[in-house]
Amino acid sequence: MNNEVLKVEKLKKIIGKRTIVSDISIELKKGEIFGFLGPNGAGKSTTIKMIVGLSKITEGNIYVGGCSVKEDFKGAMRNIGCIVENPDMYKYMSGLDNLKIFAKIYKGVDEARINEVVKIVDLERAIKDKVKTYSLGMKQRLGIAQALLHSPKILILDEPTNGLDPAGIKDMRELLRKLSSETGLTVLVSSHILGEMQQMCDRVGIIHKGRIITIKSVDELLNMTQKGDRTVLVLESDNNEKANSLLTSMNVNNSILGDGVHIETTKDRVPEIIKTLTLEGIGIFGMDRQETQSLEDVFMKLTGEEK
Amino acid sequence: MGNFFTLVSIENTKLWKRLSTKIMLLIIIVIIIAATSIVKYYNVSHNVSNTTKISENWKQELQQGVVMQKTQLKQLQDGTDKMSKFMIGSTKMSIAESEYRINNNIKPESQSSIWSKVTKFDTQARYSLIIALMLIISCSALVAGEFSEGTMKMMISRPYKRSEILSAKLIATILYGLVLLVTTFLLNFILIGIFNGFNGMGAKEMLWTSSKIIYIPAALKTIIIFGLDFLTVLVYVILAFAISAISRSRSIATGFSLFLLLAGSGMLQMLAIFFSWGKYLPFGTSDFSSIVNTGACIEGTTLAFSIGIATIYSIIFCFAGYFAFQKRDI
Repeated sequence: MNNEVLKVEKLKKIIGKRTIVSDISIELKKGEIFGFLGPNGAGKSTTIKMIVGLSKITEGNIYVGGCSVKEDFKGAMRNIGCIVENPDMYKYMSGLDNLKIFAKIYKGVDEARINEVVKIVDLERAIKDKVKTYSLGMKQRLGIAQALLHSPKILILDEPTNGLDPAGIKDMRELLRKLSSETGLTVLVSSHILGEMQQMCDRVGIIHKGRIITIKSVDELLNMTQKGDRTVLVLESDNNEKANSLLTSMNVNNSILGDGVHIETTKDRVPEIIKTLTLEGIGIFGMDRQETQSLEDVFMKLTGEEK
Repeated sequence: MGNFFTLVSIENTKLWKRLSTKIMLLIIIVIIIAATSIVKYYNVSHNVSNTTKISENWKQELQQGVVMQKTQLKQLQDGTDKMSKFMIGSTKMSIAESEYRINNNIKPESQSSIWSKVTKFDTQARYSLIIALMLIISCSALVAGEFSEGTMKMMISRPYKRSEILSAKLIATILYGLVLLVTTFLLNFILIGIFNGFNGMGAKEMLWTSSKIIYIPAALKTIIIFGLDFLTVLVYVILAFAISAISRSRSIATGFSLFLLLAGSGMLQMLAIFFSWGKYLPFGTSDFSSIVNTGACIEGTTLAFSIGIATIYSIIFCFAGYFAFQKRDI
């Protein structure tokens, strides 16, 4: 049997005369967290909507757990748990009533399973309250509980961290990590925030203007930032001005910004720079590689957009 | 199939979990109690007698009436005034009723049975309008409401066909309608019984079928009239349902359907009176119970004709709604 939990084949969506996405092909293996990365309007949501049956497929096909969304819609949907756009639940009902309603849809989802997922998303205390009293983070967790009820093969989350505070984002990340490592759940998340993807996903597919530009593991993407040998370092020292003028005399590209001296250089010159600065009596507190910034550079480079 | 019933029960739960559903049921109960009590209070305080004297020579009196009505009918039929033509149906019915009484020796009742009181109250108070109003509200909440609340996408990405989801919503609405209908009927019956006595339970009454009179138990006639009123309600509910599915807007669905129910049907009825093609328009002849109750007000329509036209339009509305819902990207 095929090993892919989700297989998207040459997917195309045309609305009117506009091609929204085209030639999207991805394969997700069991237990991996795949990130769908792209700017707003790149076609992430459209692709996800086609996977979960909300939008009609113009061309191509999608298989979820081996069932085609086109030919065996019911079979495919049984394998999916999802939140698309916002975690919209029935606000006039309690969280528990919401879960009970969705539990009815699937065979074999009993009270015990409902309690189990409530525990997983850590919503035990508020589960009997009406959903309209929930915070966004709680709604998001209830949404995940709802998506996990029938133990789907794949969890699909469209912008799951949208609107969450940093603590909420961290919780979400840990929850997804835990689910995929403990239960072998495959997760597809979309986001336009690079740093988030880097911490959450195993592999990332970058989508731009309706096309997949590249699919790479997070490590590969990060390595790309150091290729070509140029890196940006942020130097923190006891005398930034002096460091700055010294660096300029060394013919290094640099500038003073709020958080320190930004040095753009090649890797092999770094020891030389440190030595010179130390010899001149400058106390170095720290020197960091600006990683998120670099990932953004990769992204910009890949999408062909100038900063 | 078992799966589909689960879906209906889900929609039903969603409907009843809405506060408005319970409030609407409560409103209907309050209205019925209030209306029946007020009428009773008026009758008692104004000494309205609920018996009428029937003279010994009722046959002659009826005969005279028939002669008069027949000349009236001839004038109506020969006349060119379109407006007065809507009287033709009721005149025909009145003649037929009188003749039936004379021929079969049925003396007019001195006191109407509880059944005819219930029917009369129901048609005069127009409870079916209230039921229609409430069903339109709850139907558009179930369909268009789920679009605006964003929960529709939670339902679509499930192992169900879209048509099944939509059908379950329609069935849940109709079930709610039946609850309202039965509540209205029982409450009306019990209250009128308590206020005026449960007499004439086994009485028989004449039912006008647009061509002849049949003599049936009064209870059956009451049930038929309630049933026909409910059919009328269903036509509007299906319209609201289709507009909800197409427009995804609760306000458009509710507003448009209510407008048609309250004002539009009257306008379409006028068209049907003035133009011979008017009766083929939707809603012009969709007041089914009036056809058996007071006679058809549009020339050349019968109950079967009206129901047939309404069925055809309902199917068209349904088809449009399902088609839009099926094809739509959500």
